[in-house]
Amino acid sequence: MARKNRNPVGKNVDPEAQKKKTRTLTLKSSDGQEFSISESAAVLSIAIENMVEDDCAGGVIPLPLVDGGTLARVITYLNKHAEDGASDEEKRKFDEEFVSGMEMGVLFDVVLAANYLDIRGLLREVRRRIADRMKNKSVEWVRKTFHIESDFTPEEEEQMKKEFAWAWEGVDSDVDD
Amino acid sequence: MELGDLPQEILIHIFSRLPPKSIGKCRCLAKLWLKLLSTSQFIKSHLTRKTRKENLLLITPSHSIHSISTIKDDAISRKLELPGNWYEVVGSCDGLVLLINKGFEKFLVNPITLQLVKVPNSPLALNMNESICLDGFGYDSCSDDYKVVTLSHYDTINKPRPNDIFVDVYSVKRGVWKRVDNFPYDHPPVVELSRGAFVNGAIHWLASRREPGSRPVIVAFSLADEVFDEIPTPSGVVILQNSVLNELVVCGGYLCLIDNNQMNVWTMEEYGLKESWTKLSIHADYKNAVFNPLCFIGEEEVVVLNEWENLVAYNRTSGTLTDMVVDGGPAMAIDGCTIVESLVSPAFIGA
Repeated sequence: MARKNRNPVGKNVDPEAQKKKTRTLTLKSSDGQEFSISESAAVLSIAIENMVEDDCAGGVIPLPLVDGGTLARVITYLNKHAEDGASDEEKRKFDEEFVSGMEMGVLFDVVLAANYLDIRGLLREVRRRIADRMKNKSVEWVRKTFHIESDFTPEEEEQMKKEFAWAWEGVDSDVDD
Repeated sequence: MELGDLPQEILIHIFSRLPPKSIGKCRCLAKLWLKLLSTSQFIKSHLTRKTRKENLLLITPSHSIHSISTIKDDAISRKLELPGNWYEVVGSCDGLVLLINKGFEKFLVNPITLQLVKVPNSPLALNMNESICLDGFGYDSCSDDYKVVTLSHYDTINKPRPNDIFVDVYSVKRGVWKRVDNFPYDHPPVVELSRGAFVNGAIHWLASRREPGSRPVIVAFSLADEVFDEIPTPSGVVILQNSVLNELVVCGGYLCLIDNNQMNVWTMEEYGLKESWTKLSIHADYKNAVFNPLCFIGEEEVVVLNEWENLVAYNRTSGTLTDMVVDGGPAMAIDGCTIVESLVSPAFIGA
């Protein structure tokens, strides 16, 4: 594309991109908290980008499915990824740290928000994090961690253990990596 | 907010990242999970994750099946609980492997879930004592079906007989054999070694055109269209007529042509493209020995099964062949293949 900025030092800056950086949007969470964010960061969410394009963004964008705490986290993520000059390596490291400290419940909130707002990178990162915590864990561990109660009868449970005996062969259990 | 409250689509993505054995355990969590993690939609999503791990399956000289999950020197193998006297690996695809036992019976096996289903003999099959058959196994994405293909012809060495080569196709989904148009070529030069190599939706064999004096070619049987086509051979390679020294195999996901005469492994890096055949020369003492490459370890090494049933690793940089150590000793195997870890059922309880 002819208008694309080919010069990283930035002589022929794309005026549209420049505008997005300076223009700010206001996002409103389900519990009524308002957050300011640059348009360039906000549109990393495909859902927000669509709202902006359809011009539904007359000032404040309501996000009735995301609470304030979760939205604050999502905005931290978006700001980092919209940051000028942040290298891929830096972003990767940020992603790693961003999700590593999160409690399981928080991960669930963030994955739902990322899904709703259509932020692919964040969605992938959080899904991976949740999966990593479950890998090679025992049934008991997963039940306890995820508050899952068995609804099998003891007989069914025995039957399951037999049917899926292969799943217990040659794997270490409950080792966190 | 609990795990079970997440939308199904997200759950499928999360669980698709887990190894099959973790999935097996999670099926035992509660009824919801048993149901979700057993659907064909989930099993497919789990299969198509790009980073599926590959294991090496070996048939030992004592005819049992061993699996190696980390393919390296000084590896550890695990004997699989698959009762039977196993003789041959026809091929593997999507975590299923087609095995042949001592009684020439075919079994479709998932070595992770240890499910095993017998493939019935074709009612059209020729009498085993006076015929020769070559099998292949693969997946047809058009009909979402796994297929076994058998080329069979009468043994004409001792007795003059019709030289037709019949093509029988077994649909795993429907559980039926059917006969399609005859093989439009002469039969492949080597019998025992000429199982079909499944790549890119087609099973490949070496065969000769019917015109006298023509060189063997690579033919591809498309599982979707059930017709034969030809694949270009590498330039400058002469596939010998009736030679035991040429073979087609799958290694590292590529179609490979083995030229045992020159000790070369040709890899077709871009399917169907003649220029993409790349040569790996094995500089080793034993010329004219039959060997079967099984997999690559990184860029440097190729794991080969030689005709003395030793598993050896060839390092292309140093040009050295070393016996591979498995379970603390030199590894022996009569056949083998790589296979991805999957939850796909050989019984094919379809969609």
